Amino acid sequence: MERVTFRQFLGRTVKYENLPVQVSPALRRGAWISWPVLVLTGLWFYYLPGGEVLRTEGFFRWTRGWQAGTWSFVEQNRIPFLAVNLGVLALAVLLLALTRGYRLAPIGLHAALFILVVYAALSTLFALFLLLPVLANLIAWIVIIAFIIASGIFGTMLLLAIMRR
Amino acid sequence: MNTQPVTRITPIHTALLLRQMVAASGQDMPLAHSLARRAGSVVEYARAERLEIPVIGSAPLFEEVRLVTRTRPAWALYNLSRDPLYLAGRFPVPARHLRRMRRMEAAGIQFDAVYVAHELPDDFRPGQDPLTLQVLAPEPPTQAVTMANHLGLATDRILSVCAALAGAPFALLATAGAGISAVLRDPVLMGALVPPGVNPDPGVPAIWFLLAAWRW
Repeated sequence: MERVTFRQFLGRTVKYENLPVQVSPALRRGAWISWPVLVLTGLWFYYLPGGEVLRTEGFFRWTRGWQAGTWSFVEQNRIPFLAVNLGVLALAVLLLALTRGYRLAPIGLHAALFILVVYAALSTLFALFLLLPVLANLIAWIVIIAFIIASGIFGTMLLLAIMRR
Repeated sequence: MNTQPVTRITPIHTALLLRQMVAASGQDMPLAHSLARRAGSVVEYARAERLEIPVIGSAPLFEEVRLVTRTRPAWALYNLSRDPLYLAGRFPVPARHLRRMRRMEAAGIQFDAVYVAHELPDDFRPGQDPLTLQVLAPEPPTQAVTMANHLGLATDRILSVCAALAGAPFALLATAGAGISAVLRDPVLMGALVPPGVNPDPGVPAIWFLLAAWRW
């Protein structure tokens, strides 16, 4: 008879509380989404604040100061921003391996996955925050152009109506 | 026709049940003096460490799977060397019981053979259903499953907020996590001591101890 002694048994035990648990579908999707989000926001922090194309030419004056302040801050710190994003991306890759494709993991790794998702969400919000001056001015310009076009159409129709009389 | 009464087992009564399990005849067998001394020293070591290791009784070792079907639910008693859960690689034990058993080992208490009794599902049909790992393995810890579901719901909310702020790419991806049900079973661990200098082979008389019993 093959022997399994008490010592051998203890050597092959695992804490029940650490048994892997199925990762919820939402958390799994969040972890996958964090990959492109981290790459895109990393590139955004690195390249875009330095680009002159999106520099606001100030329809709203307050956006100029806002953009100048936030963008120069990001521009000065873009390497740390990119490094942190890439570090978190490396963590995402490591977690992918440890959790069998974000499917099954001890609860501690679930928490790590959640932190990954939260960081990706915060990165997204910060990237959007940097884009707000551009968006605000873009919307303002769209409204102005739409108003000009509408005025042109209305003026033309008015002119045609007067000419028919 | 089986005239044995069907009884509901609770962990408190497990030791009595195990006595029936290990001693198929229901009676203790005569013991060699050396084995009784060895068992006595285990009890003394345990007492010195303020541990209690109840003695189940004396019965010969066995190798085959022993099914106890007179009870409801039924039980399967394995030598660990044949236990599917142990052979799967890692045997899960609640942290509290693991600590207690490690204290036993640190105190110098050793057993020549270890057996485990698994409580079988209520709908298990002896002789018809196979004793697979799926039948014996515990469900994941309920607390961890609950926590995983909470994290899933929180992620769902985060994705919804991001979807609202950043647009469509997130919208398709935000759905609720699925719940996981948990079915509870009881395993019981037993250690057996054989006389000094004797191999723990089937049929060798042994003293059986209750090492741990828990509800998942």
